Order: sequence, then C-alpha cells, then structure tokens
Amino acid sequence: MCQPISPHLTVYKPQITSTLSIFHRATGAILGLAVGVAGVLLPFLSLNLVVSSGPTMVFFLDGTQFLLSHWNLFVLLGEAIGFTLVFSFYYHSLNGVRHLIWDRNRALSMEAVTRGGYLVLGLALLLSVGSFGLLASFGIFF
Amino acid sequence: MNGYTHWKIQRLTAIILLLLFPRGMTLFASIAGGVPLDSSLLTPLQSFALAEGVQWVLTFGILFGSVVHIRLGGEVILEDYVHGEAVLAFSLVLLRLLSLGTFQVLYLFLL
Repeated sequence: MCQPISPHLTVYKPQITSTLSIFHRATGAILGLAVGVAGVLLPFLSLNLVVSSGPTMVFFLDGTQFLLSHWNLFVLLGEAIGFTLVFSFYYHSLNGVRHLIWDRNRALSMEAVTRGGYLVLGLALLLSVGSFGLLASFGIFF
Repeated sequence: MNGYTHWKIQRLTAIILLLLFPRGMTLFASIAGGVPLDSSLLTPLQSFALAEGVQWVLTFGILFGSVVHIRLGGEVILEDYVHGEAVLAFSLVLLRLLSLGTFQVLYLFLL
C-alpha cells in the first residue's frame, strides 16, 4: 500500500536509454490499444454494411465525408494517428529485437546500448516514413 | 503465473510475432489502413505462403501471439503503475476479459 510509483520517472535526468525504454512501453500500449479498438470497430464496420442505407447512417457518412473534405485539421489528425501507428509498429518491433539480443547477454555495454538505441530510432523513423509514403501513394491515410 | 514463466511467454510470443512479421504487416495494413487482404500492395508480403491452410495458421499465430503478448505487457504496466490491491485485481481481470473478447472478435472477423 502507498508504494512509490515505479519507475521513479521524476527523479531521473532523461537519458537515451530511459527515454527509449519509456518509448517501448508507450508504443506497446499504443499498439495494444489499436488492437483493442480494431476488435471493437470490426463488428461495427460490418454492421455499417447492413444499416448504411438507413437515413441516420447516410447522414453520419455524409457528415464524415464533409469533415474529411472540408476540415483540414480532421485530415491532419487522421494522418497523425496513422503515422503514430506505423511508427509504433516499427519501433516496438525493432526495439523488441534489441531486448531479445540483450537476453542472449549480447550488446550490453553502455556504448552498444546507446548506439543500438539511436540505430533503432533512426531505422524506425526511416521505415515509417517509407511505409507511410507507400500507403499514401495508394491513397490510404490521405 | 510466476515471474519467470511470465518473462518466458512474453519472449516466446515476441519471437513468434517476429517470425510472422510479414503476415503481421499485411494484417496491420489491412486493419489500420483499410487495405484489402487481396490488394496488389500486399501481394509481395503474402507470396511466400499461398495455401489457404498455411495462411490460416499464420493469421491464427499472429492473432494469438499478439493478444497474449499485449496481455502480458499490459499486466506489467498495470502492476507498475496501479496501486491498491482491489483496483489492481479488478484491472487485471478486466485486462484478461478484454484480451479474450478482442481475440474472439478478431478471430471471427479475420479467420
């Protein structure tokens, strides 16, 4: 009871190691939420096929269409969520590989950990931008 | 579940997900981006296994591995940040139920 919150985030000076560790948890939580949301949305998306001819759903779809075409902020929000998901996917996967390497007792020196951290971050960003561009060229997220 | 078993299953599911990475990408693009699974965009990622049975096994592996991995990761986060035995116990039960529900829905709609 009344245990201190772990880890003691506020008493540490931010470092690449701690920051990337927080990123790993955060991206994992984002991906977990995304899977949960997909689980909730999939049945509704299927239901939409059935009720989309009803006046309420037509109004809803028209409204969404209007927002998408007229409100740039809404589109930007969609793109931001899309990019966050793609980045989280790559970052969590690549950093997960780093964890598996550490479990084999490899690359555990401070230099290797720091270098690996920057490498994972750079690769995740590069792959995210590439994938997002590829998806965008197919008209997805845009 | 003791700490070692928890750690072992977390790693095991991580390895399964890594091995099934291409299939995971197709599902991710399909759900998050709305790309149909038979889209030409995804063909290169699926060409290594065209048999329907193999595709089923891969998708099942991804779904099961993901949900178990997420549940175990969620448990660690809850145990670290949620204090108070009753709230923690409730959160852990809720997480298990949500994981089970999510798996069932995704299984029904994707397989």
